[in-house]
Amino acid sequence: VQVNDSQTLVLCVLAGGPLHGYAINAAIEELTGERLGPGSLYGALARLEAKGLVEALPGEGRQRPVRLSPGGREVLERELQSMARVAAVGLRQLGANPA
Amino acid sequence: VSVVRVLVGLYPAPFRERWGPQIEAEAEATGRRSWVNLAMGVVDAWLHPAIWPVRSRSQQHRWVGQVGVALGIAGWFVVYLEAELDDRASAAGFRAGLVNGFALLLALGLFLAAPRPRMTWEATVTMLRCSARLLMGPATVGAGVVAAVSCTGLSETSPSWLKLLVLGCWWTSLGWASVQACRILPGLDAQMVAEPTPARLRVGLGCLAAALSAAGTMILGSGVTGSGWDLLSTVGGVALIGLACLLASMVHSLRGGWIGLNC
Repeated sequence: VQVNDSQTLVLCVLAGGPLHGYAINAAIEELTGERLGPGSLYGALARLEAKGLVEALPGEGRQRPVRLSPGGREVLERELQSMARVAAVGLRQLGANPA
Repeated sequence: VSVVRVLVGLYPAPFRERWGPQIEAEAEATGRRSWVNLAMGVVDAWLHPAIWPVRSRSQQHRWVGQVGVALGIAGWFVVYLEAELDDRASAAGFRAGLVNGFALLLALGLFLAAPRPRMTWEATVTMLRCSARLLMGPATVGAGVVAAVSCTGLSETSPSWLKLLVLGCWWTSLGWASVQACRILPGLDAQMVAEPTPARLRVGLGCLAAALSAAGTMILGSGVTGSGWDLLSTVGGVALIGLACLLASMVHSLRGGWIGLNC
């Protein structure tokens, strides 16, 4: 479980709806405070597309938006629930408030 | 021509066609801070042909086979270089056994994983022509070195600069030939090449991974446990094990075993 894994981050921001590459990185910056490098971002997108977890929508000029596929939604939900379980246990043991 | 455009141009063609304009726009917006990440992305893309956008499974198998062959040839180059440069007496017998066993397994892997020209007159002639054109340069340099050594009688007493020059030319010709050999099949039209079947490709890549990991382990072992720590053997062994891991990850991705987010 890696919360900062680039593929997880891309899936997370795509959960809100289809985005193109630049907008995906802007959303990741808003979420984590840092942009992914172009090599990391498009490496992650290529992997997700090859695995069938995201799919391309018809292009708008140079920008082609992508969206989560049903399989991607399933994998993301499983991944986030796993992270949430780990986070809940860790926070409980630390005596910290999950909020 | 900007640095970003050059780096984007280094991506594999299918990857560049699908993502190139977006990568370029993103990298231009980020500026020079993106250059290192972009260069790492190029290497990552070349080493993982299973993520290249494909029109069909067979096209993916062809690319995976070609990259597997390139990695196998790179491994052969490292083993050959290691065997030639390791002048420790203790390594002599070990060297001969290693090179013979390794070459056999490697040849089997290359035979199985490589896409093959279709059995037509046109495909055969085109491949021979392409091979001759690409290998002409390194073959000329190599033949020149052999001719120079046999004519001038290069020996232990020859000046060291001359020995270094001859050795440099020899290794350049071998390295150049390795690179050119990897370019032969991608240079052919897709209709002239038959991609390997998935089973053949998996077995071929498995043989290549086994050959490189065995050679890497033995070379690394001889480098750290012999008469003293040897830098060349350690670097060569680690490089071979790294190449073997890449080949193993290609087999893994072909099996569809990478649906999780950590690969």
